[in-house]
Amino acid sequence: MMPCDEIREQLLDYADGTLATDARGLIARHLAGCPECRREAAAVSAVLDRVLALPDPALPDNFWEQFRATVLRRVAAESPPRESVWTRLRARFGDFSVLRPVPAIGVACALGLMLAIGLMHAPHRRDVVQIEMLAMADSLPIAQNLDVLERFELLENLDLLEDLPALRSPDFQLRMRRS
Amino acid sequence: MSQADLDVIRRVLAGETDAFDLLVRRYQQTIFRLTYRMTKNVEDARDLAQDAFVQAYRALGSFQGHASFSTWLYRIAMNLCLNHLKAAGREDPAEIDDRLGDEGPDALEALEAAERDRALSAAIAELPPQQRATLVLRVQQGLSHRAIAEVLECAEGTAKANYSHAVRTLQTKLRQFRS
Repeated sequence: MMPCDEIREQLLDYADGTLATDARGLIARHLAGCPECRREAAAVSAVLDRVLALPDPALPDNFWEQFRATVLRRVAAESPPRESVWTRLRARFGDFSVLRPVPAIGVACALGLMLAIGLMHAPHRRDVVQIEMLAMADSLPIAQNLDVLERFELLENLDLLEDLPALRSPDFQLRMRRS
Repeated sequence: MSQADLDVIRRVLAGETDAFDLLVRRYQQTIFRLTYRMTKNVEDARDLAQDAFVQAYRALGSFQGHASFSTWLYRIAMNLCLNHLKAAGREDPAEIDDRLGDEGPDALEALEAAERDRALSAAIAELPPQQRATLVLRVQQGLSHRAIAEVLECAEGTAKANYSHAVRTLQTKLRQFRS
């Protein structure tokens, strides 16, 4: 026998009449032997019955004539509806279900075209390479003289050449040897 | 879809705009009942139902017949109702339907029935709009879950879940009312 929880989950469909015949039979058999589920089923049916039975509002006698007259007056003020191009094509050539993705394809093509135009107007890669090479040419002498820079400590001491006696001093020679 | 509806639509689109009256006559009560169940106010329901017909007339050229005309019309009316509810906020349940249950063989019984209907109407009015819409379309308009999903433009499972939530909420409210 099916557990009550599973039965109760289907009681709305049962009350609604949307269950398949065999499932319906299964629930009917369960309800016959289960008072609690039977009570629950009755409660669900009662809700549906009461919602269905809620009364319509009281309307004046000429309500529907006035209703229609208003609609037709408003409609007459509109321009007549015309069949859309798609509907006309469908009527003439049949169903275009294959072409339904056409709008999406159109958007994709437009985006692709925009991207292509953007790339055409962007700086060309060769120009970019040339600019990079020019920048490198400027820094080439510096790169070639890197060994000078590495010995920058010597350059720092060049002004000492102005004072040769100082270079010959034992202190300086000792310092150079240590370094 | 109904061939009769399709014939009328073709006539309207061919320039015989007066034929639209046939569609209004055919669906005015159904659409009004739907808008009334959603708004619980006769004037609002009338205005929304009339707006639905005018919008349908305007858009008739784009009606493609994938769904039936009635489903298409329901969708227009339901969208108007949901927008109306969103703009107006929740209505005061105290204003709901003073006429409920004014008939009955026994005065006390009638009073009880009226009170129960009032409580039920108030409970329906308090449901979230999508749940209310699903309940109205299923119970009072007799639409299948699939058709409801088409009208509300949601998944069939969502429509089913909303319906189930709505019925359970009403069941609880009715139980509280009885106790």
